[in-house]
Amino acid sequence: MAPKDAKENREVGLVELRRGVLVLAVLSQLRRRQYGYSLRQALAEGGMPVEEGTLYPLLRRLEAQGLLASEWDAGTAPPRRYYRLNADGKHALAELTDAWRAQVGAINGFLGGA
Amino acid sequence: MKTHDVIESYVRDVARFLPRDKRNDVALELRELLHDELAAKAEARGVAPGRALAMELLAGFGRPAEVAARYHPRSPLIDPEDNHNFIIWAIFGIVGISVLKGDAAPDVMHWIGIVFLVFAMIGWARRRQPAGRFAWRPSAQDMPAQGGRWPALLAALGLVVFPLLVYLSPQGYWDAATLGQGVAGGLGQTDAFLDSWQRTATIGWFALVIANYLVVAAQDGWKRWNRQLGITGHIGLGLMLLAHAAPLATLVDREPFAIFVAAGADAVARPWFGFAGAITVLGGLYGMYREWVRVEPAPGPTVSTGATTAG
Repeated sequence: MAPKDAKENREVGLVELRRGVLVLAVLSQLRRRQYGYSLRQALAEGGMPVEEGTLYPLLRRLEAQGLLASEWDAGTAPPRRYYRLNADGKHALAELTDAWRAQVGAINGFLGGA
Repeated sequence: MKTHDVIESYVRDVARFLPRDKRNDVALELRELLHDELAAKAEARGVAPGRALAMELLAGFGRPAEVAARYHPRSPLIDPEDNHNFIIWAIFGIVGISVLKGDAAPDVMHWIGIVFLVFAMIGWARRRQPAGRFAWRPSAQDMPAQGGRWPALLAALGLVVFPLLVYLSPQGYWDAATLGQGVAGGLGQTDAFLDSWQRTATIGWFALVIANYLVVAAQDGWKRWNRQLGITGHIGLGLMLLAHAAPLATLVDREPFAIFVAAGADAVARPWFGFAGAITVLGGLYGMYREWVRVEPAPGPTVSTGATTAG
């Protein structure tokens, strides 16, 4: 029982770690316009697979927070809703990028040669 | 049901949980995304996008209410951090109402409703003003009722002077208190009561509670066993006083006997025994709750690190 719990706890830790950087990853990919499915593919190809049930609502929440602009493209079949960073989103991406680099430096310092 | 209908049903159930102005927009996007996902899944497996595959996809997506909550998070009616206190208040109220009233179902439902409303309003107010009335503030002492030597000595003396002496000899106490001007013989106790095990047991519980206070006074503080003995003593004493509120009987022949000689005195005294017993039991239960949630204080004297000494 204990080994299974330990494995579950490790998996929970990994999920938490990914969740923490998901917003940064999404914002980074929305410097060019993407619709939901294409964004999920881009993230997966970049090494960060994300569950669809997590990603698509996140896009709406980021839009509601004023970081993304979106528009329906009726020229495609079927029509797609495309997202991309707006001005506030670009600022947020820059801030998060700086924070991420600082965190990576700190964590690397903690981990040392581990 | 065809694949298209399965997805339509899912989209509809998600959208129903969303605010009206977002429903159709989210539904339109979600529908297309699910079809994209389904096509990709089918292509990866080299099969046609059928109903079973759609059900698998949607199961991975999550329950419609959960998905809707991810699209549009809503505040809980009762904050999760209040669950613990909510349950405690609800249970204490239910137990209290059930003890005080026999047919308590409507009152229990009222109580739960009131507690729910109070906690919902606290959560709402706290979200509106995080630094307002419900923000955390330091408290001076965890257990003000459990002081050191002098409060314990005062409690022991108080218990001896009022309830114990009254219980032992109500007539003598009344005569002393009124300097002999009271009703002569009106508070005399029956022989059956004076010889009863109920009286002996009650005096024993009184003695236990008082002795515990005296020990606390002697050692100038409460140890864990003092607190637990105090709780036991209060609950035991309270239950015995509650027993006095009903006609007493012997263990052998169950024949009821009176406490007081004077006719009608029992009818006057019994509600007061019930009241005193209920208060004492509740005090014991409260002590039990405090003991349950107790956090051991820091060892040794507390040192304030921010103070400076002038001059």
